[in-house]
Formats: sequence, C-alpha cells, structure tokens
Amino acid sequence: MRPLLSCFTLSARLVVGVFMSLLAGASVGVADDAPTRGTRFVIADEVGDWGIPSPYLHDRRGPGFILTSLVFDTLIWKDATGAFVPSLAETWTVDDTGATFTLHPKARWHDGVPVTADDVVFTVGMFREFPLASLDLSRIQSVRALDDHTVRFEMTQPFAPFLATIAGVMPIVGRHLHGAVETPMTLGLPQAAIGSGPFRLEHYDRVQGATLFRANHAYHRGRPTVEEIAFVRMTPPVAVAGVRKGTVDLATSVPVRDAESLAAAGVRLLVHDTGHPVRLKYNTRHPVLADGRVRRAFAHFIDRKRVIETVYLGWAVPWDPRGLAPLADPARDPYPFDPGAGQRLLEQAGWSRTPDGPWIRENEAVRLDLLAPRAQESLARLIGQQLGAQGLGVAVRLLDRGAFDEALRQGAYDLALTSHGLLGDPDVFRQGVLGTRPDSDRYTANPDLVAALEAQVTQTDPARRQALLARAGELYARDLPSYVLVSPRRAAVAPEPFFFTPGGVGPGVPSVLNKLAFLP
Amino acid sequence: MSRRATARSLPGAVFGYALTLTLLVCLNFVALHALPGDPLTVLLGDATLVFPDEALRARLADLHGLDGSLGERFLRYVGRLARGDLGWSLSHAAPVRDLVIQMLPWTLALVACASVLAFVLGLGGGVEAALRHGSRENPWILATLAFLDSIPPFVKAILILFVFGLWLEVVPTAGALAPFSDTTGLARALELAHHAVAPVATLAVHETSKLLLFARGTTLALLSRPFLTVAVAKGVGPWRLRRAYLAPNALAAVVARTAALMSGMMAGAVFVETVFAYPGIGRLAVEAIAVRDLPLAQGLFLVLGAVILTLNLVADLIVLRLDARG
Repeated sequence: MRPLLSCFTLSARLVVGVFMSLLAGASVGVADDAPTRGTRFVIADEVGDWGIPSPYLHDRRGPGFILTSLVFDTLIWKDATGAFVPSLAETWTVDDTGATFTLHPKARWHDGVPVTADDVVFTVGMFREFPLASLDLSRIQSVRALDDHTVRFEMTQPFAPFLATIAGVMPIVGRHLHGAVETPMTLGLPQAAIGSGPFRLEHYDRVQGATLFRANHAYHRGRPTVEEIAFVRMTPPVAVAGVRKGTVDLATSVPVRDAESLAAAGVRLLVHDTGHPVRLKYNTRHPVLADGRVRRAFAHFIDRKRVIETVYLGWAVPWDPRGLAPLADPARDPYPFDPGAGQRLLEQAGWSRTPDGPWIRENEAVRLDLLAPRAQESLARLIGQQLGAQGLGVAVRLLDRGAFDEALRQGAYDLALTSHGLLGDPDVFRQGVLGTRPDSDRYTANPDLVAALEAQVTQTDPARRQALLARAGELYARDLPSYVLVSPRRAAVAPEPFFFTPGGVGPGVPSVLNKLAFLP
Repeated sequence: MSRRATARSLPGAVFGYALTLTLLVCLNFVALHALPGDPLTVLLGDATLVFPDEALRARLADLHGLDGSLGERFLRYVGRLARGDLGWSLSHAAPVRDLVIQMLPWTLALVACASVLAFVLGLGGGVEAALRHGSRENPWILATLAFLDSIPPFVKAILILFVFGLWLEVVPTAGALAPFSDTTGLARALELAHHAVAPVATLAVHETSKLLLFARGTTLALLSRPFLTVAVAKGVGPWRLRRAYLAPNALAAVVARTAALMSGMMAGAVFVETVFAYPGIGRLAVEAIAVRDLPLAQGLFLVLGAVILTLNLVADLIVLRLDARG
C-alpha cells in the first residue's frame, strides 16, 4: 500500500507545487491605481496577446500596431473617410522637397512632459539606428526642429507616399524615455509604453492574452469617450456568446456562420474587405511559364465565382487583375472564366492537346507544382482541380509558412498561392511587383511597367500619380506575373461610432479598430 | 537489498539523463536550423512597406544575433545557455526565458492535473473493468472505452466547451482567470481551479481511456497468476483483493505507462489551450516553428525536453523502487 500512497503523494505535491507558482501570477501592472469596471469597453480577439503596445515590443502583425496606436500617436492619422486628420501635428504642409509639421501645443507624454519637435527628430534617428522592417526612412534626407513645436522633413527627392507610409504610421517616442537606454528594444515597462496617445497602458498580461488601457484625461484632442478598453483573448464561439449576452462590446472577427444570425438579432456588423487578396503567382523564370500567353491562359481556366462560393462560402470578392482594388465591373474582367480562350492562347504558344488528354509542350505532357501554405489548402486543391480539368497536370504541395517563404525566395516552385496586403498607400503595388519579399513578384521584365511604378513614387500630383498607377495596372494585367484572384471579406461586431477605415488603419491594417472612434 | 539495488541503478540513470540532455541541446539547435526557412523572414515577412536591402538585412541580423556562420551561432547559443540566457524571441520581442517562465507552468499544471486524474481513474477503473471480464457489462465497457479513445482531443475539447461552457454555463469558457482578476489567496486558487476544470477534464478524459484499457489488460494478466488464485481461494475479501493485491501489482506498469503518455499529453495540450484560450506553451511552440522564431522554438523545446526527461527519470526511479519492493 505504501508505494501506492507515495506515488499519489508525489503527484499531489507536483500539482500543488506548480499551482503555487501560478498563484503568484505573471502579469504586469503598469499604473498604480487599480482598474475600475464601470465604463469598461470589452474587445474580444482570438489571439489576445499582440505584445506590449510599444514601437519595438508589439507583435509585427497588424493588431499589434493598432493597439500601439492607442498609446502612441503618429503625426497624422486617418479618419472614417480615409483622409488624413491632425494627430500629434496640428497642421502640416507638403511640398516637393519635404514636409513641415506643427505640433499641437498641448500635446503631453503620459508622464506630463511636453511633446516637442526634438522628440520627432529623436524618433527618426532612433528608427534609423534601430530599424523597424515596416518603416522605410531611406528617402528622408534630414529632419530638424525649427522651433519647439515645428519640425521639418527634407526628402532626397519628391516622395508621394510620405504621409501614408511615414507621417501616418511612425509612432513618435519621447527622447527622455527611449533615449535613456542603450538599445530601445530593451526598454522595459512602464517607460516603454509611455506615449502621447489617448490611452495609457494600465495592465498587460501576456499569459492571459489581455491588455487593459485607461483613458488619458489630459489628451490634447479631448478626453476619450470610454474610461477603459479591455482587449481580451476569446475564441470566436465564446466571443459571439459574449456579444449576445452583452458582455463583449466589440469582436474583431466573427465566424461567417454566425454573422447572419447576429445581424438578425440586431447586432451591428461591419462587413469589410480584408484587402489581402490571394494571388496565383507564376514563376516567370520557369521555361513553361515565361510565356505571357501561358500565364493568361491559366487565368482563363480559373472559375473565380466557384472559388468564392466553394472556398469562402460567398465571403470574398473577385480582385481586379490590374492591381489595387476589387473588381468593380465584371464586364471589365480581363480574364473571365473562359476555357476556350485559354485553349486558344495555349495553342498560340505552341501547345497541343488530344481530346481529354493532357496538354503537350515540346513533346512532353505539362506537369506543374502548385505550392501553397497549409492555411490555403482548400483553395489550392480547388485551383489544382480547375487547372487539372483543363488538361494541366498540377500537383499541390502544402508547406508551413517558413518552408513556403523559403521555397519562394529560392524560386523552387512553378505556381504558388500567395497573399499580402494591398491596403494603404498605392505604393504597395510597386512593393508587390518589384520588392524583394518572398511573395513579391520580383518582375522586372517589362521596362515600361517598372518605369511607371517607379515614376508614381515621385509624382506628388494626385491625378498624375493615379494615371501612372492605372498605366502600370494595365501593363501588369497584360504581363500577368501574378493573377490576383479573390480577397476574403470579414465581419466584425462593432457598435456606433466604429467604422472601417478606407485603405485600412495606419499602414493598411484591415481592422474596425480606429482610435478616432474613442475620441469626442 | 532493494534500496541497494535502487542506489546502484541511480548513477547509471543520472548519467543517461545528463547524456540525453546534452544530446538534446545539440539536436535542438541542429534540427531547428535544418528546417527550411530564414528567421529574418519573421521580421520582414509581414512588412508591406519596405524593400529589405542587404544592408538592412545585415543590420537586423546583427541586432537579433542571427549573423555569423552556423558554427559561430552554435557557440553563441551554448555560451548563452551556460549563462542561463535562452535568447530573444523575434516574433514576441521579449526574452525567451521570460516567455518560458510565464507560459510553461500553465502547461505543466494542466498536464500534471490531467495525468494525476487519468492515473487514478485509469488504475481504479482498469482494475474494476478487469474484475468484470466475462460479465454482461464487459462489452459495453470496452465499447465505451474504444469510443472515447477514438474521439480526437480537439473534438472532445469543443464538445466540452459547447455543452458545459456555452450551453449549461457551468464552467468558464476562456482563460485561466477572469480578465484582470485581482483576487488573491484562496479566492484566486478557487478561481484558478474553476477555470481549469474544463481543460483538465478534456485532457484527462482523453488519457483515462488509454490508461484504463492498459490497466485492465495488466490486471487481467495478474488475475491468472497463482498467488491471486491462492488469495481468492483463501477467501480474501473483494476490497482487500483490490487494495492489497491488484492495484499495488499493477502500479509499476501503470506509472511507467503514465510517464510514457506525458509527451502525447503535451501535444494534446495544444488543442486544449487553443479551444479554451488557456495559457501555455502549446500554441507558442506551434507558432514559433511556423514563423521560424528559432530562439523561441529552441528555448521551448529545450525546456520542454528537459522537463519530460526529468519526469521520465523520476518515473524510472519510482518503477525501480516499486519493482524492488516486488
């Protein structure tokens, strides 16, 4: 009997020991006073923990930036129409050589120290010395404080995306806080989360995936309309149940199957396009796919309507193959589902096919690999099936994200399903075509396309820039290094006055969480 | 004599443990670096607004300790380990040690509680099921166990979440504590226990069916042994038969089996943590591998491996002790 007892005793001690360590707790309280519960606005999120809301410490994905934006202001910000409005800067002017910002005279850091132009100068220097991959400051020639509240940016050349990719997304930090340490990545709480935004970080709990923000009553644009924001991890079914019971105010994403019943129950749903279209990327260095006619033929073989109905249950929109927006007019679709047109293009390219047999090129049946991340399995299998039905031998290979990115980087693929955001400044189009990211096209074969994409960067006249982008879009759709397929839609539960920011929040985050909804 | 036998086995077991741990340190580094994929992609992959040229890549690699040859990185890795430094997580922008310290206890608590529960129910239930061998209820017992065993852990977790959490509302549905809970002492312990009910039950149910079937088989084998035939012939009562004859003799095998199931339970914890939004290293580890956050993956697997090795060492010693007692 004793061995049995000793075994139980040992197990019990193990359990009690571990629980005692949990009792101590592992969360980080930031402010001194305990949170009140009366005016708490609860946001449910499937992940919950997006890191400490601080420029170097938040998770690099979109929601991390959104939460950081509650604590740290940028110079300017986007409103419900997608237009830029004052944030830390009260006014600004942009010219061909740079931009000048005048800071709001009442702007203060959360510790009460005034925000000055010198803080902006320091911020740019800090991000240059300790770069963030999401912030490209290479076109800034210099930045200097003209006085305590005026700061001037000089550019190396006219830079059209400046407001959208720098002034509207770069969180301004305080020299007296971030300048006090050798490397800003090692700055701990509470200093790392002292910003000048409308909310202070009250409590960050990585373990529970929960972050609590408290209103900054001294905010220079007015006292926020809620006292506390609780950002809490919940699985989607639990979040939906919370919405129905009234314990959750905002759910960043609700499952498609629940959206209709929630709407019928009178819950306010914001349905929006994610702006992350999935694209069929061709390896244009592959001998088979180097011919544009072949790429265009494949596009005609894909039935996007069926893709949307089958894979996305109707919750997606077809994207315009010209680049930056959903397909507004189906009549202008350059690649409607038309197997006959595809066959003619392949025949023009010298391919041949016996009835119901495979396509033959240079006396060999064509066989191609379609790479996809595991998350895209359903789509990959359907695309493979649709191409296979037209006589193309397509083998689907699913990889985890690391292996997938590496295969793209090395060019070890024929076809691949990729996706990246196309919200934000239109310059994302150039990034996607000419950039060096694994999922970029890295397509430089058409000098006219390259020239149009490069020219739009320095074109500060909006109409002329738009014309250059339209020209690039036409060239892109004709060459078709990637065929942009569809963009999923998402539903969020959000009360008035929340809105979906056109072009996404900040750098293009597809979220209904715009801090302006918390301001008077 | 039995103590001496255990003592003689101890140095060998500890040496084997140390050797395996050393191998784990090396394999952990080599295997993760052999995965296709570049850790810097973690930093650059989600950035939509930058052309990462070589200078930027080099600067980021330098800042995050990803520069140098594989050999140099291995030496830095071992050097850091010697100082108790597990590195810096690229995706979480935090020291790996902090992440492990914050998350590991929750997974350990979950697995430990479920193991104890499964051990007790498995051993007790297995003995009872064996004693009902050949009875009318025997096929039902086997069918129920086979059914429970066949349901994947994530399905069990979802069923428990919907039935007991969302429908009956008798257990919490998310987290290990209410958000921003400020309870202390006994109230905190009760809150923790209440939140742990569903995740622990899910994991325990999954393992109990396995242990119960195993204990049943072990007990059936015991029942055919002469000493039990003699005991039954001498009129030993049913309670004493269970307590003094069957359970103690099945114990060593069931303890060994429970320890062997630990690594599987760690994998099951991933689903449980996901479904119940429960804290732990399961989800952290899966994401670390997916995004090639090598410092985090190395730290997690090293610590997790060391914990499993330690538990197996302890189980081996317990089994040695139990076997020595006969």
